[in-house]
Amino acid sequence: MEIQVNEEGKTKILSLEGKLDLANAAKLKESVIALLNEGKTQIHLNMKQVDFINSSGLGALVSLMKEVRVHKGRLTLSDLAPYVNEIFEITQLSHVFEIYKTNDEALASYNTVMTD
Amino acid sequence: MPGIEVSLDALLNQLSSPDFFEREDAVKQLNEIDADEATAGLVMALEDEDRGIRELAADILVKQGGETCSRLLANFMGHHEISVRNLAAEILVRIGSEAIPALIEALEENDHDIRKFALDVLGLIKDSSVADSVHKMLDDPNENVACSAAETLGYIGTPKSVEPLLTAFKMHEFLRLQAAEALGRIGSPEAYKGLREYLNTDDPVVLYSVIEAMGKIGIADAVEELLPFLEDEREMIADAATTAVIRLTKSSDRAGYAKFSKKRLKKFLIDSLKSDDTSIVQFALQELRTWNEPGIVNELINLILKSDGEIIDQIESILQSVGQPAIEGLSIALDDAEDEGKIKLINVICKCGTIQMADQLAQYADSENPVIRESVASSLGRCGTIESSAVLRKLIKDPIGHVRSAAVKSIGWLGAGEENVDILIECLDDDFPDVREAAMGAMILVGNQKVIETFTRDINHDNPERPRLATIALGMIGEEATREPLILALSHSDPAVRRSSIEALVRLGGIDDANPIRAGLSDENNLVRKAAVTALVALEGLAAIDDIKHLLSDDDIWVRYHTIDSIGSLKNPKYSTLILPFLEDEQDILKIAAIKAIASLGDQSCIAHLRKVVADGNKDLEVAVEEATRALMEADNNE
Repeated sequence: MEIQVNEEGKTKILSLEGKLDLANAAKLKESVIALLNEGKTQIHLNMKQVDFINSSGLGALVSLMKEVRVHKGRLTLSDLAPYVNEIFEITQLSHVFEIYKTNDEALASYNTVMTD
Repeated sequence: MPGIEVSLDALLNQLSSPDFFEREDAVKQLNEIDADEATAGLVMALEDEDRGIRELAADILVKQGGETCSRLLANFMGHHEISVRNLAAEILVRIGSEAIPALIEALEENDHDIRKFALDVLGLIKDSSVADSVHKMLDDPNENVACSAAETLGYIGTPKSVEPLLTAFKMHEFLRLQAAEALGRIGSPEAYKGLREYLNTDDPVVLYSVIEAMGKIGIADAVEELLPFLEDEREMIADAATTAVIRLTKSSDRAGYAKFSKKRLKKFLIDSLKSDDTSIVQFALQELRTWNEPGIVNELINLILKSDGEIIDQIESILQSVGQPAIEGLSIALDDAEDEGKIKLINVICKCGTIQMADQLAQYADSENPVIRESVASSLGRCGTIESSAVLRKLIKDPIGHVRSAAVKSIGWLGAGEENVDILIECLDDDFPDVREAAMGAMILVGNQKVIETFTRDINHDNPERPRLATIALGMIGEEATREPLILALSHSDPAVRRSSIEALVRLGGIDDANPIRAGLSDENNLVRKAAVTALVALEGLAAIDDIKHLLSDDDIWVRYHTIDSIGSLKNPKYSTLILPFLEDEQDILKIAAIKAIASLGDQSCIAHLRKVVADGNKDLEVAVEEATRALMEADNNE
């Protein structure tokens, strides 16, 4: 899985590409935890190029959400592909994660919500 | 005609019948008669003791409209019963501009109530053509009428009323409040110039209304003139000035805020939270967002108890930024709140709360109110820890299905499913469908060997719902261990199961032998055949062509449509010969699929064929041809 990291204001944007499965879940967790340890607690995951996610990938996202909470930060997702969105609906994770339709909508929400 | 007269008299008499149905019938029949007397009868029916008949007559009168009707209604605005007066006025407003001539006439009535009501109705109709007639009424001998005239001019909102209003403001002290408010509504620079002269008045009521109007007019220069009033000893004046300055600066220059004492702004913002005007509350919340101050916590928590939706969302984000003091405030409020408030607070706590709060929430798992138990179950999934699963296990046994469902979901969200798989498996047999769905979702999140074994067994379950859910679940678990059961499911008797397993296997990828999926191309079910086409194209690309091309002549139109689309997705021009015959298909839907596929295949030699497509006025076909031709020509130019 490719993870491209960009920054906008205080928000770190991780653009993911590929499959979010067991093999790649660890890589994603490492990347996010490293950012949290640097004090970067506003994290947005752009899922536009994620065409597959499975139990392991979902588990990684759930555990990252908890980590971000421990750091009093915020984790958002955007651009879920139709199938990924369907999994979020069936597992009801769509009620737990902050999910935006587009990257811009997610970043705009950081501009209106101050977390520091 | 004598016949009609007899009938009309009878109907008018029938309006006084003690029988409801006779009176109702009379109203309906009067509606059928085109005569002024019939209209008068309908107006009389507005006095009926029954609300249903009054509303029926009102609706008919609104539809009739016209001069006679409006004139009769205008007379009724002097009726001794206030409810009848109000109903007549309401009908005139609904009639709208057709009622204006009658209302203008009513301004000459001796009865001041009729004049006042006529003005009120004109204000609601908001037609600027009546402004001149209303200007005259500013000098009406009756003060109430003159005040109504000022209000009406504010609603009509035409700048030509500014001068008459300023004159009336100067001449008549009694209407200064209404005139200032009207000038604020009209909002022209002339109104601002006229009002600012009264900033030195000694009358606090007038000063208040002038300041308020200046804020509404929206001329930015007013900020400087209003600043001295921010610290006015009279609280009412200082508040009006604060509101006005905020209003004037919020959309443009935020520097205006720097002129405020923090104490005053804070007081204003907190007072604004209590306003009945949602826009003011939202504005105050927007400002408080940047304060991050514990002192505002209690006010915000109180606001949660009386708010809903977006306002609560805004408060949540402020409380999140406040941190620990907010959590302490929420904790105290939760214990003191009534049930309805508790539910709102629990939902806020799960977003702002901490592990300690999860313990406090758990205390309400025994509440007698099932909505509170459901909120607790749901919230523990969001802000709880693995330790919360003990409480959730208890709530999974709750007699109310919604509570059980929330608890099951939360087990999944907490990542506590692994220790609770047996309980989740039991929930697959729950009577309440939401619980079964929640259990499936939670088990997908667990996705371990035991879960996979359970769903594998479910593929052969007697209940037809279970194999379907099991195949979907196995597909979503998406681990290597699901491959074998999914291949087995390809030969299930239920076509929905066969289709789901094909889709799941394709997503899983890594298929060395596509033969089990290839078999789906000759499945008896059209949806399975469609899924097999998509799957083979995804797995084998161009190599799938030989297997799928015979489905271009499938009995089912949607299989043919889907096969055309799938061949198009291969983007190889050499396959356009397979698609071209469909440009002449008798089904327009297949023509459109073929046009799009040809564009996607990128064969420029097909442009001439596309131009020959007979659209026969089908707009969708025309658009498809136009877009496909353009795409192929652009591709040609780029090359």
